Amino acid sequence: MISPGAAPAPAGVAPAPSDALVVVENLVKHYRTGRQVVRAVDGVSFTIGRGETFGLVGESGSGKSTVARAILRLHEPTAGRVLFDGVDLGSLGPHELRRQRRLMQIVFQDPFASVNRRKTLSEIIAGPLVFQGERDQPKIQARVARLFDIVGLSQAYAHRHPHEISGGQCQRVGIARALALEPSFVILDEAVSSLDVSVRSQILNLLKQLQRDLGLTYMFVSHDLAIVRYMASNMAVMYAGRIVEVGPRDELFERPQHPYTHALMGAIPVPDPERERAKTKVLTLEAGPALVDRGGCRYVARCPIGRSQEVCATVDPPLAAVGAGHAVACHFPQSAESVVAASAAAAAAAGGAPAAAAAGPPATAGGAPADHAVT
Amino acid sequence: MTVQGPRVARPPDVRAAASPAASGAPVLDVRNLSVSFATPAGPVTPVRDISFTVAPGQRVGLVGESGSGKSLTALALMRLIHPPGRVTGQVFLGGTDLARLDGRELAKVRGGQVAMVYQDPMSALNPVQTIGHQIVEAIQIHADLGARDARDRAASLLADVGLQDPLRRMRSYPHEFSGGMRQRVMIAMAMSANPALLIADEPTTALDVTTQALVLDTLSRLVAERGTAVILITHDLGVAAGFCDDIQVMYAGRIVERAPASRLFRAPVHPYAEALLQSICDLDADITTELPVIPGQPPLPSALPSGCAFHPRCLYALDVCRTTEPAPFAVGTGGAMAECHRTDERIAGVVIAPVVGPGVR
Repeated sequence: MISPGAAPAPAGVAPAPSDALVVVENLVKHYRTGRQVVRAVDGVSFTIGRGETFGLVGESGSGKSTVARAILRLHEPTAGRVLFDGVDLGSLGPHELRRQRRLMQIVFQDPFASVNRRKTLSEIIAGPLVFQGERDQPKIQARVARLFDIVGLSQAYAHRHPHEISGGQCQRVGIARALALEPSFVILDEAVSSLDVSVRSQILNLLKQLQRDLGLTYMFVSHDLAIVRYMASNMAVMYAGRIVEVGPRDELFERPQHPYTHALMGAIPVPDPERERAKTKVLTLEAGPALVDRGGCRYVARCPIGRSQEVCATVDPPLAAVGAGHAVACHFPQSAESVVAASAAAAAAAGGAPAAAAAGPPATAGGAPADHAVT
Repeated sequence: MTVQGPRVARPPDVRAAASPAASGAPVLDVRNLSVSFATPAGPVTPVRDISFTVAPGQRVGLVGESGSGKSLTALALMRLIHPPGRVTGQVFLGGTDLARLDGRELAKVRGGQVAMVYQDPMSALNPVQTIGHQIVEAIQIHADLGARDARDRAASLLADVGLQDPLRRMRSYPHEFSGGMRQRVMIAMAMSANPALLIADEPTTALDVTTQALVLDTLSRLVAERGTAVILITHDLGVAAGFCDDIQVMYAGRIVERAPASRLFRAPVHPYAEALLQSICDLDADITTELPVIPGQPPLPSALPSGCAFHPRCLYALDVCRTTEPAPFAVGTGGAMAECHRTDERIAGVVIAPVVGPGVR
């Protein structure tokens, strides 16, 4: 379907507008805490093509889950627009929104925390059907039975309670519930992060198979770059409420440009001692004392390149295209080699103790950890 | 506990440490350690008769999925299991049997010769006392130091773990620190009495990957400088690969394989270790195919399968695997072992055609 009033495509968007299922434009979500404003999400734009998986990767506090919730209007966005299949979700009243939500579902991280422990598994899975007004019991039962099948759960579990099953099985219940209303779009918010390795792979395979069979579109939110690589065709890296790099998966993994993306890739532990010890580590600094915000790049205090650059401290870099569908928000987009060289130089300057080198160009203000930019 | 096959006597030689670094008297010698709990349905035993040693300065990884018994093992080592939990077996720390110590002697050992770092630093720190107060307190429990000396010691420890301007930071409260900084404080406190052994239970699991890498670097440098032995408990094989000399893989309360890290990741012998390594979705995973998986679920300690606990999920299971629990078979001469009936075939590199049968689901 063609989006009415086709909005100008934000930078770094891969799919053509006609294929777009979800268009996020300049999404902002601020939280007020006392006199402070936490800018959890601060101007995020991307497009998710129909039938694709869009990966959103970032560390805790980067705003990725807030983006997920703001898209579904589980949290009301402060500003910005979300178009779902051409419909501006912000323009819908409660009834229309509820109808629209049949098509947009979410699976949460903690399978046990996101189900009612006093209900049986079949009641949990039937929940969305009942909530949307379905009263025909045989119809509900048939649909639930089909959903058990789809997610690979034995019917024998239908009358069990969540405490009687494992985490992996409970996450299958969460997935079945999300699929109950035959959505076209499912947000997977750290949906496999609490699962053990062997079970995690089972669920990832299931999700891919469901996508093929049911033609689903996914937004896959995770802190785990390796899993996002496996699942997503396009992806964005978030840091402190902003997208710092976005593009097709292969382009992003083969030619990453943002120093934070490099750091993230270098920090993933490799299950092979020789490669783990041999791999090049990119210096990043731990979130230290908050810097006085001079309106610059939010990564500046941890960046091996930006720390010595005045422009990085004072000018917030916009997302700018560096390749086909590939955009980076950095004044000095770099290849891996030059970031590693800059890291080595910075580490040497800091006396070989990278973590101790929290000094940056702006004056430190002491106090709170700088996980969030706070104004 | 449910049915268990006859157990073959354990050959004593396979208990020794696997790496060459592990010569000399061990810091820790664990013999036949079990942890069981009385439940209305009868006793369950989540840690089943495990034995191992840790040499001075050696880094041993205890790797397994949730419920494998790795954290309970750590608690049992420190005698931190309370009724209705029951610990049997012996734990020798530098030659002393911890079971023979009374409460006061045990308190001296904890945080003294052995220290622990836990997953969640926020719940291990007191939120209403300053960092400085807490670390000085920890120092004074184990060293006869005056206030000024203890404070200087604390500042130098905090500098060692990478905190800038430690004297000023000591006046801060835990909530003023980021997660990585808090874990650095925990490491400083753990190292304050210069322990011979550090038990780190998922020390970086709550941290972001970039912070995790920095904290692991710091921990690695510190224990290398001081010759501290480490037991690193983790579910993350990548973390274990980068940090440990030797790795012990736990499954259903047993150590099913012990091997030098360099060999385990290249040539795992136990089918569970192999399957676990294959099922990791890492940066080299083939995105065009399905991920390899281990079928089924790990067993509950209250309902262990007969014979080898892994046999219902094992591609290589034989009839003997369903009836008899395997003893540890030595792998090479260094003390590495695997608890698998087909160890010899696996070492020989004989390609074993998967045995399709009722055991395979």
